[in-house]
Amino acid sequence: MNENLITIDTVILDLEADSRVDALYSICAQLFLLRKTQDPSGLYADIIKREDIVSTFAGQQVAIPHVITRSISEPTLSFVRIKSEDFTWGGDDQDVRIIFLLCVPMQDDLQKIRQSQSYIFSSIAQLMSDTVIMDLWLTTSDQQQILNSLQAAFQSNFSVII
Amino acid sequence: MPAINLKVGVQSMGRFLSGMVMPNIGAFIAWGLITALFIPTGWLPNASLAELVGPMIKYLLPLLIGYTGGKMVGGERGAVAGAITTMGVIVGTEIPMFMGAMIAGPLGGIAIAKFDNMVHGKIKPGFEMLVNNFSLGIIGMITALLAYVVVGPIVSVVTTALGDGVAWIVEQSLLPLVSIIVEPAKILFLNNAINHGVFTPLGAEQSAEIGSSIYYLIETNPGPGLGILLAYMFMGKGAAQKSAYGASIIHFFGGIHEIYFPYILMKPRLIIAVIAGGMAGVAFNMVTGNALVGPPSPGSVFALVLMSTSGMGILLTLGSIAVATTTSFIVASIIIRNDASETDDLAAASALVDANKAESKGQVPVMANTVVKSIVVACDAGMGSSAMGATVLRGKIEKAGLNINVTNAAINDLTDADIVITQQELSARAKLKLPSARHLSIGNFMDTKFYDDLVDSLS
Repeated sequence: MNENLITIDTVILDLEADSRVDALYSICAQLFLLRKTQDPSGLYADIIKREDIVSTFAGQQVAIPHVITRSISEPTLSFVRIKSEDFTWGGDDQDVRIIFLLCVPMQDDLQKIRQSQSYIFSSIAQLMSDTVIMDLWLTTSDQQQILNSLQAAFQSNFSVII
Repeated sequence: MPAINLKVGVQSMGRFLSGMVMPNIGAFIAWGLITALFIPTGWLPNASLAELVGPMIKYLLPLLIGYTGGKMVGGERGAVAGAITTMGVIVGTEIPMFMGAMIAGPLGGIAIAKFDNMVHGKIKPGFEMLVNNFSLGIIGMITALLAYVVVGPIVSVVTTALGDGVAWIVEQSLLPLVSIIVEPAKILFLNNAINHGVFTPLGAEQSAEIGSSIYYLIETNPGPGLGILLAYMFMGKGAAQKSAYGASIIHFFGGIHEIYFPYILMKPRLIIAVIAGGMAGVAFNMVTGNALVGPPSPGSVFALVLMSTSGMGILLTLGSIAVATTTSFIVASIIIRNDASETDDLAAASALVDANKAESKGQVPVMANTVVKSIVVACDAGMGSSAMGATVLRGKIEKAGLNINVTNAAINDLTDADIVITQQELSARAKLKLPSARHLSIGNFMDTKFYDDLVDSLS
């Protein structure tokens, strides 16, 4: 498992954004500042291109945009909590407060990439079924608590799924 | 129940056969139009352009079927292997090899898929292209030779025997009796299986020999259904009567036959009317020698007219529709008038039709006695939404104690599954990629109710 997949810097709390586009643009800018990408515009374009195929709204106030892109050098997961309670993803019935953005660098073997990254959203799906975790994600002001919850799940699922 | 298993089995087989033909119907139509225009008895006879007809039916159409059949079981490499293998049956016989292509195509696809599974993860880095190219070439060569030596001659004998059998039926003037099977089967949504899986290949072979075929007219004649709808217009009442006007236009001009099925399910005795209408239409065509040059798809009056033979063809085709419509209308009118006891609940009948249709396409609450061994949750990338969905479903499957393998994949990587679950927007792509599987559509991958219902139906 990649230890740098998600760090305290990519756990972003209470992002002010009016729309999906606004939020994704802000996250790409943040990843640029963190030197995760040298091409934030390209990254943003790839994310939107993927989003245009089908919405990544996952229900339970969660969206999971994800992209395989040449605009990033290593797999990077961002946890973003939106400040506004009126934020919606694609339509009025898609209330979202939490965004998981997964960016994976392009390689020749796409199937291998997919298999190697599946454990991430598998773990998130398991965590989403836990109301205590969901409450924690929605309310805590401690980024480390969120990071711990995710890394523990990734650690236990990585060996099972891979 | 054995009857349900039989129906599901026939539908699965029908889906598989028609899945090989339906993507290529455009090519059949192109061939039919070229035939209708340029053969000596065509609309614009032209000896030079008519030379397209022979190679298209002997090589192009079977190769397309074989390619598609191979692709259905073995992806892109399976498609190439299917086409190579089909060449074996084509060259091995003198008759157009549609049935042969339906066997050879998947055979080639299965062979390469088995090989790929066998060597998966065992090829040394740097040798992938070498192994991939030569394995496909060598396996393709072997299956083509096998098809040439074994499959082709066997299929040739079977085809000849079937042809003789059909000829006997025609000689004995029994062809109209086929409607006894075809018309009820349509109501069970076996229409594509029968039309594209059986009559289109048979019709193409006959058409190659004599320039046209009556088989194209057996299932596609919109007359029987139109008779039912007209009877509802004149003899029916309530919602059924009012909706029959619009339905008849969609059915007759649009060729969407499914729209009249609820009207029969409301009064099942009307099946007699469509059978009578179908028999009358086939009998008319048999007596007058009317036939079509290519498959009319969909079964709209426009498509039938376009595929008619030159000369009296259009008039005879319209005549066969009129005869079928009139017969069906008379019988249906009598039944509707004398049958006040049965329900006129169009909504309930429509719901039943939707259920039948969903079942025929695999979009069903899966029945408990259906064997399901693998479920693939698929999305575009194969690592996001599908991974979440597979996790939720896997947990519920395990909790229910079911022995079903649940995985996630990208749609482009779909190769084998009993059930494929995708988001609604992606279902069409998934069906195209893996037509042999049952496809279920989901709004979002965390919809637990969807998974609960699915697990219930599998339990």
